[in-house]
Amino acid sequence: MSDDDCLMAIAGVCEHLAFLIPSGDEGAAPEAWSIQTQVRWCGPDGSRGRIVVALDQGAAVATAANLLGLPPGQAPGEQDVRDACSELSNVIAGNLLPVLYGQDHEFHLCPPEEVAPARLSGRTVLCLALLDGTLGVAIQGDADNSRILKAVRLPTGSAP
Amino acid sequence: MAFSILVVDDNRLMRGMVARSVTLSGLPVSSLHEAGDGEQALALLRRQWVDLVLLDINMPVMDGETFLGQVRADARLRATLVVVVSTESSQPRIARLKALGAGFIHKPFTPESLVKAVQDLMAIGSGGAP
Ligand SMILES: [Mg+2]
Repeated sequence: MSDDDCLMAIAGVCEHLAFLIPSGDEGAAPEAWSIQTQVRWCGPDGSRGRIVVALDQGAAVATAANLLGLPPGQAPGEQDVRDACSELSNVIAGNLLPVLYGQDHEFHLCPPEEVAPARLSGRTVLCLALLDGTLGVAIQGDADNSRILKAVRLPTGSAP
Repeated sequence: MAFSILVVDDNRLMRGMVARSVTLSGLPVSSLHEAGDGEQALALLRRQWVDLVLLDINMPVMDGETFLGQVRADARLRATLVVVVSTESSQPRIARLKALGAGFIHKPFTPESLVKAVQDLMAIGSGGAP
């Protein structure tokens, strides 16, 4: 599992769920995020964590407009933007967990919660530049989830 | 055959998106219903004929897996076609859902994958090849 694998999974969800196309530029966190949603999850062996998804104004509005199938120029309502960003974060979280930990584990995802926009922090922070704006994802693991991490599964007999 | 379809998802926009995908898919639809969680969906199924349920898994109140178990345990509802539409990737959980006779498509999905899942389920139901 690398940051590139995670970014590919995130970009895939953005494109196929919300028709948000990556711009090809390097992503950088904007001055301020417009909306931020977190999805808490728990998994096997007491593993748990949070995936926080942040969108700037352009990306948030485009997500809602695209999920609603609005014609160009028609602006979505505030509640629509909230609901759209919630669902986007839910699908991003669901698609990131198997990239991070593999498909053998069962995870329980809590419903997305809106949180006050703040600078993203965590084990991994990724930014994706889109044609409509910027999306950020912070991967936060509580406790020590290394028992279920794909990346640290060593071949039998190898040194720790 | 035109389907009476129930879309179950806790996100209002996602219910709309699934409904639009049903329309785009070309599946013949006689009526389209919505529910925000498994409990609402069960209540609706008990008062209204539904041919096909498109079911989210992660929902408050009653999740999709619990809902599916209750449908299969109810003699009057157990033959209802169910396609799970979820972000779920856990192979053990997907296997459990399929063992309960549900089709599965992964979010994000395309209208084509929806049609295929429904056709596969109907082929199994009529004894044809999946
Ligand atoms: Mg849900």
